[in-house]
Amino acid sequence: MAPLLEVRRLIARYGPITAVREADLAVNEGEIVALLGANGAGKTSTLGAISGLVARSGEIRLDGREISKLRPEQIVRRGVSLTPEGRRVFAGLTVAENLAIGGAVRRAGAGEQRERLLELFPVLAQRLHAPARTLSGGEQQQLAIARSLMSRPRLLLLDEPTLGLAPKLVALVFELIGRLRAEEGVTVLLVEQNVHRALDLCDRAYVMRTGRIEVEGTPDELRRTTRIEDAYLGIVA
Amino acid sequence: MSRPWRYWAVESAAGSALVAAGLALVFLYGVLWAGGTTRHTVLFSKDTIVYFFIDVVLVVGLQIFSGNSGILSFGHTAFIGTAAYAASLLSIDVALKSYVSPGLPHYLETHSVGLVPATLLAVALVGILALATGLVVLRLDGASAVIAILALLLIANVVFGAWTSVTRGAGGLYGMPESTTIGWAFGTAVLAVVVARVFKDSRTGLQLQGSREDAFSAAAVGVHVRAARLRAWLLSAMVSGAGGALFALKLGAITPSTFYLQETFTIVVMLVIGGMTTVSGAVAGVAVVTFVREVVKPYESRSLDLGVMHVDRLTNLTNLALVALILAVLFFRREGLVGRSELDESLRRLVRRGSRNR
Amino acid sequence: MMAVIAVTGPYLVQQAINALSLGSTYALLALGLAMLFSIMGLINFAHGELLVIGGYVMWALLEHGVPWPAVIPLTLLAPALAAIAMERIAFRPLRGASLVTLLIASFAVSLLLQTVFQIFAGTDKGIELPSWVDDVVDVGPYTISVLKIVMTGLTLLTLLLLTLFLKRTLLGIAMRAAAEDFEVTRLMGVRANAVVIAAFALSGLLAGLASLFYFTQSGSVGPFDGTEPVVKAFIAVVIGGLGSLTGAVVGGFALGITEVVLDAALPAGAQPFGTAFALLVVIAILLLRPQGLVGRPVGLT
Repeated sequence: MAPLLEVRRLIARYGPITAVREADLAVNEGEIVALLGANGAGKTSTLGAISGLVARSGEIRLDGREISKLRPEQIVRRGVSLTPEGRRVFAGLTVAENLAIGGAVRRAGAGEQRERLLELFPVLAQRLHAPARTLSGGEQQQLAIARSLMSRPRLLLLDEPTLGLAPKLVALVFELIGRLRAEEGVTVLLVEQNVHRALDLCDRAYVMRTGRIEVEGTPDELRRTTRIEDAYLGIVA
Repeated sequence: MSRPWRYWAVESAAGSALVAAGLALVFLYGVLWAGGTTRHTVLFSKDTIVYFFIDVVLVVGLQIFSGNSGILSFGHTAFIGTAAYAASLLSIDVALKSYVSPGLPHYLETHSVGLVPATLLAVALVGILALATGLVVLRLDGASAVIAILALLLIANVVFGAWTSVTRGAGGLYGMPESTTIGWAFGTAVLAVVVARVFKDSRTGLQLQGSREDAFSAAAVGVHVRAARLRAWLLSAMVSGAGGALFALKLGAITPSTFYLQETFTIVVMLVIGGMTTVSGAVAGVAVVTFVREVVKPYESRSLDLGVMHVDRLTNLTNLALVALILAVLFFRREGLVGRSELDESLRRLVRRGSRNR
Repeated sequence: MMAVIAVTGPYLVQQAINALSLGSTYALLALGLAMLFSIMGLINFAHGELLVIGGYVMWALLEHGVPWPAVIPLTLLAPALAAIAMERIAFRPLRGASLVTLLIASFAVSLLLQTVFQIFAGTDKGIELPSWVDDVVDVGPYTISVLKIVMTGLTLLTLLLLTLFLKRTLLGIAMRAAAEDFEVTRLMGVRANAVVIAAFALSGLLAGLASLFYFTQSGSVGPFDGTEPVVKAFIAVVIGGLGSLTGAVVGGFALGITEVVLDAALPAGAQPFGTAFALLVVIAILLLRPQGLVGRPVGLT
């Protein structure tokens, strides 16, 4: 069966700076795939390129159809949703309003989706009418993920969802991602710094360094090789 | 091979020679070929040339501050106007003065001075005002700074109009001798260009340019951003003030509306079209706009028949031309016609590349 | 004591109404400006020309005998359409450009429109005012202008409707989201163009409403009438706090109140300098609270 997401020879640029050089990766339906690497390796840029936010060239196929020339709004409509690095919730809007924006693309059935998400994220149900800026870091992260899920995406791109969170919350987020796959059938491409936990959770992983994919494989394969440490230049979580 | 640090000023001044030479050519044209106050067979009148040089002083003055700091100032016309009024009050013939401005202090009423002392005194006054306003306004950043500077212009406009005993209010001042000759205008323009260039390449100038790109980082490496901005503000205001004084002593009559938003816009447009970051850009902008204006002006009295409607006079057609120029620059060459490097720097680079290929 | 109140009472009430109605006009204009600034960083100098377009439409319609009930909606609509055209022609090619570039572009559009007005409608056009404009109403010992009450009331109603729109409709929420984070709003699948066009349309609508008030008070429309109001609106936006819609409204009323207070409080000799004093107050506000009256203290940049 063809992969849900297929990326070939992806190049992503910020003006004169090339952040991703000829990356190839694939995500199959129902998988959780991790994208690992040190800071500046190009992970965020890869997600940004897939979502259409960053200037890119190369092939990006969703369900076999090219999306590399589409605008971000169009890509979301095709079923790809990005939860950006740093959460970036709309601080002045309430939790409910944040969710409403997330569901703007898929108005039909938005109500039921919201109810389902509020069950998955009970803390959001409690703070439904609070401005997002009053939420704690962990709560905002949950809001960001829930907001992305409002559009019922087929592929969820998560950019460092555990950044800056306390260990207990890190565990919560990872557990949540697992449940999302199990209960909602969401396919996940996950960028993480937390290598250990990511390898525990994912089905496959890619390791990036300076814009290129250096290694790929299953968690077991990756744990056996030492190139992860190389790729991280000595920093392993 | 590196030059000793103290030669940088000389090198910098030499760099402005290219632009100065261009101005000299215009000066020669003005002296030798241009007709009196109206056009002859040749394109530009002498008056146009004089105003061209004055505009160079004004726009280069603005460039000193806005080009280096990145803060677009809509308030410089306040300094221009203040200097214009000051120079006028100093130079109007004593016999006329008491009719014109009954409220002047006794010393001013009984004396009047020539072009050079009037200009220098006006510049000094503007310097004091620039220091005072700069200390207040330059504490702000971004859009707040733009607003506060704009507020200065508005305040000046109100003062020009309301302080009737001195400025004669809306009626304005008249009776100034037309002492600004083409020679003085040219000389001041060249001086302005050299000063602006030397400042741009000076340490303060470079620090300012650093803060323009990234104020936070500049401060982090020890740049006193506020002090640098103040210095630029002061110099910039004084140069602009010189232009204002020359302007008043050429026009012969001024009103508060001469120094308000229309004039502000014209100066800003000239700077943006030529290129805000370079002195050559400032001069180029004045040249292009003056040229376009002169070319378009004769069509203003024409009428236009568009079939559906008939227009009697194409008033202010020059404004439309300016708008077209500005939009063209913004859409296609945002850095301005001259771009990021001074003309002589680009020329030097071309020559170097040429000699390398040989 | 009662005598003092009896004498100063009506005066204070009248001045309060003056302040509120002046503040209303400023608030409407400032809100129009703030809408564009908060979403796309555009300080639209051409907003004044939108006001004037409203005025010219009013004049043209009244000249041709169109009755007032029809004039009002058309005066609201014309600047909105003009604003949408402005966006498409002048500002869309510059989407994402720096603040300074956008500012200069708006300056250019403003000059363009002013010149066009000059060419096609050179002299000031008088507006025929309906008879009730001069009506005053006697409420107890107070004499109050009907027009000013209507203006203030309509403005408050508009603000209420606008607030409902921004809080309850999806487009309104999307606009607020875009004002906070344009990029992430696009990530949610919201079409950037839709939000921007809506912002311009609203901004034009607000200018149209302001023009109804402005020109029925002044009685004539000239090509350059837009400059002073937009400068005042600009100032109101900044003292309220850039990027904040509530701030714009607060700033507008603050400016109106300051002007009326100074007008009343200054001795006769200083009267002509009134605006200058108001501007000094503005500078003082900016120095003490650079983030504006409503804004949140900004970080290091």
